[in-house]
Amino acid sequence: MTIARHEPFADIAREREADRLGMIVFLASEAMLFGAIVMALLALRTFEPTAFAATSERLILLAGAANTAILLTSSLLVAVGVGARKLDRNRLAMALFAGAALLGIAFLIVKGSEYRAEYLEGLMPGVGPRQDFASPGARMFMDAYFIATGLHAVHVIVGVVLLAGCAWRLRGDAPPSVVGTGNVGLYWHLVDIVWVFLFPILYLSR
Amino acid sequence: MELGRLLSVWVALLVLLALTIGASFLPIGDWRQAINLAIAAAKAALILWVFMAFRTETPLVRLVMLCAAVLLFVLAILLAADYFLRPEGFL
Repeated sequence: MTIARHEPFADIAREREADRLGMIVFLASEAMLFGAIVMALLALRTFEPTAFAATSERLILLAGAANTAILLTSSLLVAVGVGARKLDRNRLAMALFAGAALLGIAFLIVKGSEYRAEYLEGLMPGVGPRQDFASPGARMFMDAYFIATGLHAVHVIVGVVLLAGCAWRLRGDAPPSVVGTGNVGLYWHLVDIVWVFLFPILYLSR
Repeated sequence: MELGRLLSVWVALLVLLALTIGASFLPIGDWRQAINLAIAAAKAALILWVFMAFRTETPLVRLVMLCAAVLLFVLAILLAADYFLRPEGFL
C-alpha cells in the first residue's frame, strides 16, 4: 500500500483522518434521513397498532429475511475486499467487490418481485388492478413501506453502481485509492445498517 | 486474525437474524417489538464496530458518529413528547 502525503496535511495520519471524517459526516446525514423515516414508522405503529400488525403480516417474510441475509453477506464481502485492497491484493478485491455488487442486484430482484406481488394483491396505494386496504391505517402502513423501502432501494442502486465501478477499475493498473474503496465500503455498510432496522419494523411487527 | 474476525461477525449477524425472526413468533406481546429493536441495534453495532472498522478508528471520527446517534435519540424524544403529551382528542 502506498499513500503519499498531500498539502496542507502535516502527516499521512492526519490526512487519512480528514478523508475518513468527510465520509462519516455524509453518512451521519444519511442516518438522519432514514432515522426520520424509522421514527415515522414507530409513531404509526404506536397509534395504529392493529392495522400496523395486520398489514405487516401480509408482507412476504421469507423475501425480507432472504434480503437481510443477502445484504449481510455482501457487507462481509465488501469488508474483506477493503482489507484486500489495503494489502494490494487487487485481483482478490476486484472479485469480492464484484460479488458484493451481484448480491446487491439479487437484493433488488427479490425486492422487485415483492413489489410486483404487492401490486397484484392491491397493496400498492393508488395504483394497480385493485385496492385492498382494510383501513386507512393499513394504507398508511403501505405508504410508509414504499417510501422507506423505495428510498433504501435507491441507495442500493447507487451502492451497486459504486461497487461495480470499483471492481471495474481494480482490474487494471490504475486502481481506485485505498481511501476511495474504503469509503465505498462504508457507504455499503450504512445501506446494510438501514435495512437491519427496516426489516424487523416492517416485516416482524406481527 | 482480521479475516477470522470478519467471518465470525458475519456468523453472529446471521444468528441474530435467525433470533429476531424466531422472537417475532413468541407469544410475549409487545416485548417482541422491544427485543427486535434491541437485536437490530446489536446488529448495527457489530457492523459499525467491525465491518466499518470503528474498532481501529480515531476518537475524533468515532465522536462524529456518536453525535449523529445522540442527535437521532434527542429527535426521537422530542417526537415522543409531542405525541404523548398532547391533550386527549387533539389529534
